[in-house]
Amino acid sequence: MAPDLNKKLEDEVEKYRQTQNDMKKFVTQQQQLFVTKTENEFVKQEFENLDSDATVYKLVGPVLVKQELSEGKETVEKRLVYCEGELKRLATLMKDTEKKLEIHREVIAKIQQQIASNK
Amino acid sequence: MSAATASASSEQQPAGLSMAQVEQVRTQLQSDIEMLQSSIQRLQYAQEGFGESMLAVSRLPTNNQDNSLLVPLSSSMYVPGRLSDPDHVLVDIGTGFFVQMRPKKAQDYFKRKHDYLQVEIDKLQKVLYDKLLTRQQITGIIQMHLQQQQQQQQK
Repeated sequence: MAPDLNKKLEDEVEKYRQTQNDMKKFVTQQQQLFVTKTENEFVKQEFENLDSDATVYKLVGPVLVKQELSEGKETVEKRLVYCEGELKRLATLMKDTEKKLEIHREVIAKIQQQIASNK
Repeated sequence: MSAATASASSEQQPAGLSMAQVEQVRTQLQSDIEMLQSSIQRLQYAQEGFGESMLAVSRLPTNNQDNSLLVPLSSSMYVPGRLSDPDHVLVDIGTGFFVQMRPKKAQDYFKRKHDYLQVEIDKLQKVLYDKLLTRQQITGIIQMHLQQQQQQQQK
């Protein structure tokens, strides 16, 4: 009985570790998204301060391409919308992962209790 | 001996936590402090960049000179050239966008960024200061506790 329980415990702990790793990845993604979002908000602000005939260039690979201010504003706006969408998606994903972690913790605690009571 | 340590570890701290929890708080504080310090450093580094850009733009020749200069092609080779448009500079405003601006506007831009970063740095430094104070207090509590433990063990 005891070896089976120990094996079960090992498996659960392994699953818990994996879920924790997933969580860490999500946190990193979230941080990066936040940085991108803030950067784009800066650019949006700068665009607001420009006259409509100001010359704007966009870096596409190694080339600086001339763009209309309105085009630039659109691009930045689209990026911001994308970032916000991704951040929302991540937030829900992280909440679910947190719940999974909680469930793992409970299962591990139960198995540990069983092992202790069997001794 | 074991009875003394047992009572010492369950003794209530001024904050109402056990010794182990106080130690945990201290560890968490320590990592918060380190993160804050590294963030402040990075902000200051970025701020320096803006400061230098401001300086560089202010050094652009504004009078009717021939605008000749030396362009670096590699770390050891320069090529003579001429500034084609001394009235405008291209400013990188982030996410791959560049804007053509007059030197004065560019300087304003850099100054704005520089000042904005200063505000953020100040905010972080305030938080850092509070955390440093708290860490000091907690270290004091831990030391006091260790002293009490030693005294009890000596009885």
